[in-house]
Amino acid sequence: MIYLDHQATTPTDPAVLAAMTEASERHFANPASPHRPGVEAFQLVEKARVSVARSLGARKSEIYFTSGATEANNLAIKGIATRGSGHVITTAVEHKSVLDCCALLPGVDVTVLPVDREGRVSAQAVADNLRDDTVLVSVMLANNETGTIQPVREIARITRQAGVPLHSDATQGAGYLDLADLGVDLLSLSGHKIYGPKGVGALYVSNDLTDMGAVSPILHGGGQERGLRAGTLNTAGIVGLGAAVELAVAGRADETRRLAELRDLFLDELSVEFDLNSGTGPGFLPHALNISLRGVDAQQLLPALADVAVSTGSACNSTSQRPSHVLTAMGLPPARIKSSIRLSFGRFTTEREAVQAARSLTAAARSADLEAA
Amino acid sequence: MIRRQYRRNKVLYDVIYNDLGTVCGTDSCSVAPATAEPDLRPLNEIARAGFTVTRERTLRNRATRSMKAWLKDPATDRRFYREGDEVYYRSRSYERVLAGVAKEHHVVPRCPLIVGEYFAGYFARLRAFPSCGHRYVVDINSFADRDKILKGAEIYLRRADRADETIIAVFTDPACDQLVEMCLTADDF
Repeated sequence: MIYLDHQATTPTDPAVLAAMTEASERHFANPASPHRPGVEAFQLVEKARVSVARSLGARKSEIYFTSGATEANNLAIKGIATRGSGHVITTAVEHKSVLDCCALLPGVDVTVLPVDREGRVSAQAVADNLRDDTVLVSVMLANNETGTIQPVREIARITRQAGVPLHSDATQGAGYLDLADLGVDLLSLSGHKIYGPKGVGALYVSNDLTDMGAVSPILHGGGQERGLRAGTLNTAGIVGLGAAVELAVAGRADETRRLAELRDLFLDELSVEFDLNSGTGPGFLPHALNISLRGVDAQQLLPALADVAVSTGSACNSTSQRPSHVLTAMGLPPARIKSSIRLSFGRFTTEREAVQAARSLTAAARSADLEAA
Repeated sequence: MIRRQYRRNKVLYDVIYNDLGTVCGTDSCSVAPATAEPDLRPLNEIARAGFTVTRERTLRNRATRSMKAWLKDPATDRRFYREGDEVYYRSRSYERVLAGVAKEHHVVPRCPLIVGEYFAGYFARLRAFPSCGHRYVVDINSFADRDKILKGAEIYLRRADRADETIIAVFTDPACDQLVEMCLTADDF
């Protein structure tokens, strides 16, 4: 099976797995415990915290470990917009964990900004919609269906000037983009999108915000993570996240080039009529591809693709039976959305696999019984 | 070993002597049962070996003076705040750090503040050697002291905010068989 669904999740890197296995076997103690095994586990957690902080150009004290990006997004949004009033700005192409979270904020007015044909929000639109009572702006770094990179730095300059906190869900961009100096106040990360484990993530919160007490916890209990995220720390998962971040940062420049080449190779080899829903330029993630195969129902295509793992839309949202909210927001017609598939190349994808996947997809799309009437 | 290996470096040695008789946990401190006057002879031997001795009573008194000064003018350091009789430190690592208790004219500093005073005093001694480009305090403690040391280190490092000072907190068992070290600078907070 050729795995081309790295935006849904990535395989765990063997080096990450080795670090996690050792942590699980030898450092199982509670990091809060005041004995040697506990202090050793604490030391590992703090090393991972430093790794994550460095990748963001942040301080160690600004990193809070969570169970994943969904929790990090919930903490960022619900933690800020707690007063039952105010205004939040987000975009129409955010992950559901941001959109649903915003929609469920009691008493808070939410502005969902539209995007252009490439799925990109304009910084000017953010500026135009800021209000006196705006308490948060949340704009993702890169999209999970199209790989579109949002102008987060530009938006950050606007929100900084306005004194409004900016949150960015960097789950998809983390392995491929430089996260330092983005200018955001809150940033979400996930382990399993960067060859780390599932069930662990992190939220960066600037000390400026926490010093003001601007963020409230959504989980209460033992006071872990400076009281912002109660719950015994997942030592092995956190160690895995730290190792995954280190690997991603170390190999980023070469890997992004290699992945873009794999994507080009795949497109060259694909011998069926298709439309590109995502771009291949610098404004898009290098490994991501969203295409619509003309006249083909993507839902029917997937079972015929026996040797290639791809998906339609967001994996987290794939059971909703509704057309992709991202492609809809980009203004694509329903027929094109229905024929869209998402592919993404990864660290262990070879050139041979990219070529074979294109050939398999071509064959599957050409099979007469799959074509729409 | 440090002296032999790093001959061009200045090295000072110090031992903290617990003459307060308190046994401190994460959340509370208790006073050990009163015993006879402690035997200070081992301290003399330590001193002959080139170590200085810092008494916890001295550190507590310094912390008390600092706390009284802060209570007179809380605006001098907004990292501290008062809740009833208790004075807390706004930590960037812990949910709540109890720095001390102030009741009428009676002030009792807690461990994090006392440890912070220790680091302040020690780094002040090291600054007497201006030719040293970077100053390290290697602080060896029991595993059980982890939180109070880290809280005290944060209080000192954030207040001093110097790029040329590092605390290496080492935690160990009584036999010093197992060592776990943590390197801390102002940038961590």
